[in-house]
Amino acid sequence: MLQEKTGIGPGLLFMVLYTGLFGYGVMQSPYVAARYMGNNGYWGFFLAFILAVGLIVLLHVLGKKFPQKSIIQYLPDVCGIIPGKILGSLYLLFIIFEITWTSSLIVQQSETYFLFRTPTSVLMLLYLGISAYIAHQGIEGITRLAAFVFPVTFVLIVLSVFFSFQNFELDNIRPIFFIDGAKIPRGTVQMFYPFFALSTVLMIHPYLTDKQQGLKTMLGAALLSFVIIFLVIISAIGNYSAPGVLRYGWPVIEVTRKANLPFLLQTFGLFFTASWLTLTLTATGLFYYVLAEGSAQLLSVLNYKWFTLILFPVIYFVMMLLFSGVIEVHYAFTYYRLIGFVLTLGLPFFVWILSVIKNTG
Amino acid sequence: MKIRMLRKALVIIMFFSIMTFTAGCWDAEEINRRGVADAVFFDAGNANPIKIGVSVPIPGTQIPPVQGTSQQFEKRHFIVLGEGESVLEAWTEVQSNVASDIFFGQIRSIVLSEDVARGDINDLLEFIGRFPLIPPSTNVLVTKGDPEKLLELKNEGNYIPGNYIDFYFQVPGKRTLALPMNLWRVNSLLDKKWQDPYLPIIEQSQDNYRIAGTAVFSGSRMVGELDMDETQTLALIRGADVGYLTMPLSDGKMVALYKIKSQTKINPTVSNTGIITFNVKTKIAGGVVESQPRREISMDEKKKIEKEAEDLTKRKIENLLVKLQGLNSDPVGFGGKYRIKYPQQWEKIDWRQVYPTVRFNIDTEFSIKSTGLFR
Repeated sequence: MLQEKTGIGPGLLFMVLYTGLFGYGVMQSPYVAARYMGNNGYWGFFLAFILAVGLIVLLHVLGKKFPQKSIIQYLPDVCGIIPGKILGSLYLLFIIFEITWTSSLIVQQSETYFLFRTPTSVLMLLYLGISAYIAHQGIEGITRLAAFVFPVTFVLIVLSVFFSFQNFELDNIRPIFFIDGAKIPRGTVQMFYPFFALSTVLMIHPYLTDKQQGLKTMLGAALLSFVIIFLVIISAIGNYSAPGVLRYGWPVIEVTRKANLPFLLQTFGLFFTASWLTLTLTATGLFYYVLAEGSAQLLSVLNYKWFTLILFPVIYFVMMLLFSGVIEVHYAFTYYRLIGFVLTLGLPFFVWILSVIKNTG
Repeated sequence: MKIRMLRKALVIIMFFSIMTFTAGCWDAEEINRRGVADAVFFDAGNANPIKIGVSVPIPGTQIPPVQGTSQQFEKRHFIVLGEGESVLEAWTEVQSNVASDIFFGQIRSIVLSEDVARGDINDLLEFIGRFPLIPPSTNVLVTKGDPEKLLELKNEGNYIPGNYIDFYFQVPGKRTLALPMNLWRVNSLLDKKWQDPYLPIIEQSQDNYRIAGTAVFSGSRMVGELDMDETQTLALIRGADVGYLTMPLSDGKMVALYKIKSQTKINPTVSNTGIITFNVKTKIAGGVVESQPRREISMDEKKKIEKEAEDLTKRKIENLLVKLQGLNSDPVGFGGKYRIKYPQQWEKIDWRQVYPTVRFNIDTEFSIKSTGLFR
């Protein structure tokens, strides 16, 4: 089995994590906040960030315990061979679900706004092909791509979000400190999904060259993504109100499409969408790589490059089977958020507890 | 070695197969095949419930006139019509009536006839709202006359109608004469339930368009209209930043003010008996632009004008609110203020039932900030 000999510095880890956190997390965040918590739904995301800080600490501790191993490699050491392989397979299944769901989301978005007549199957083939190509470059290639696209996409996204506050109405996000039963705690669980991308750290942490900087780097990437997504949620609810957000399939694109510079620029929507698409495809490349590398380690045959090719028809088939329409994508989203919450938080916590009890690592 | 070659071959095959399926092929469209719509109207049809008209500019006529000459084209746009049982049916007829593909990405205005506005605009705008290309900031208006005749009009400047209307709303001095409303905002108001939509009324005037008031809605149905004076009062309550106010004084004199700025604080209270009262405090500031007979605005005169302006604006606001309550229309958003202060009670009430019974305490404060070039 060929394993990558390369390493990534904290800067590259920061870029690639930001790419995944923002790309996978932003698009439906105002909808989930408005749906489960109403006009002050942003609090749910704030609390979800606090949970994410706990997760990051846990990932850092696990990274220090098993500095040269990925989760697939140390799971059998901690839980025993069979349970370890089963948990590893569960982790990879979840990654498959993330890739297929998010890729389908990108495809649906492109079909809705840009490519009306292009068949879904072709778009899926195209986008998955791009992700596979990115994944094929390995962790260093992916992180360098993330670092390359970061400056431009960051500036365009910040500008779009800033101008989306144009018609902001404070009343729409009020009452700010209203607690309506268990809505906010329940919403926190639902709003945790943007942080699922942190689960990739379980696979890529061994490649981090400066492990001392791992905690700071992960916190930095999560904080930056949190701030921007938080602003996006406030902007969308502040513009449309919570019931107004629920009308839209793509509330974030809508709120940036409406943002404009009178007499100069009709809409910021295109800039935002292109930036989001770039980040999300890069992030999908990372997830694809994690899946390929994880599969290679789990099965101990071939290397990740082979698995990028072997997994291609599998992912494509799952996408075509499960997510060929936008309603299916929205339907699966509910399960994705709940399963992801349990796995993303539960798996590292379980492994850490077990490693402490068994004194492994 | 063999494996490496095979992998390379696979990558190359994948690369070329992606190229052959390049997504743009399906959606490629020649730009000159597009009929770029700039305005659309909805009306009740003759034989069908829905009639759509689309104003399509004639591309060649959009070139600016040669310097020193006037615009040489008779008219720079044409209207394509369609009727049907549903909006989609009418739209299909529009598409079938022209060779080009009607493109909605540059639409500037949507005009609703009074007939359809008095129906359910939430259902009517459903089709156009779902259309992904329509700019969310498209202006939405109501006309009391025939929208087809209105958009057919060759206005004095020979502007295409959608652009003309858009320019009109972008002039800052017109913000209190014409309260603009965008498509996304109409949808938002329809959804949130604590404020009702309002749409500017457009009409033909001196071979041009003008905004002649405001159509007010109760939920998704138009229920009445405000004249120009009432529209300005509504702008005052909503917080205007530019505006005009002409004021006859009690001693027969007259004063006119401009650069009117207003700020309103609305505070709801609920009495022990459950009566909801809204305390509305509007602070208005402006500059004197005309006084008849011409005179110096002294300190005494200033105080007198301010006092009378306070009384007048208070009366106007009271009258407007009585009218709006009678129509069960809440374009100011009193419901929103109540929701914020009493969120739990809000969940239990039907604002549509409660609004006509609420009380208002109006308080106005007026200050003159400038007198132009004269004292």
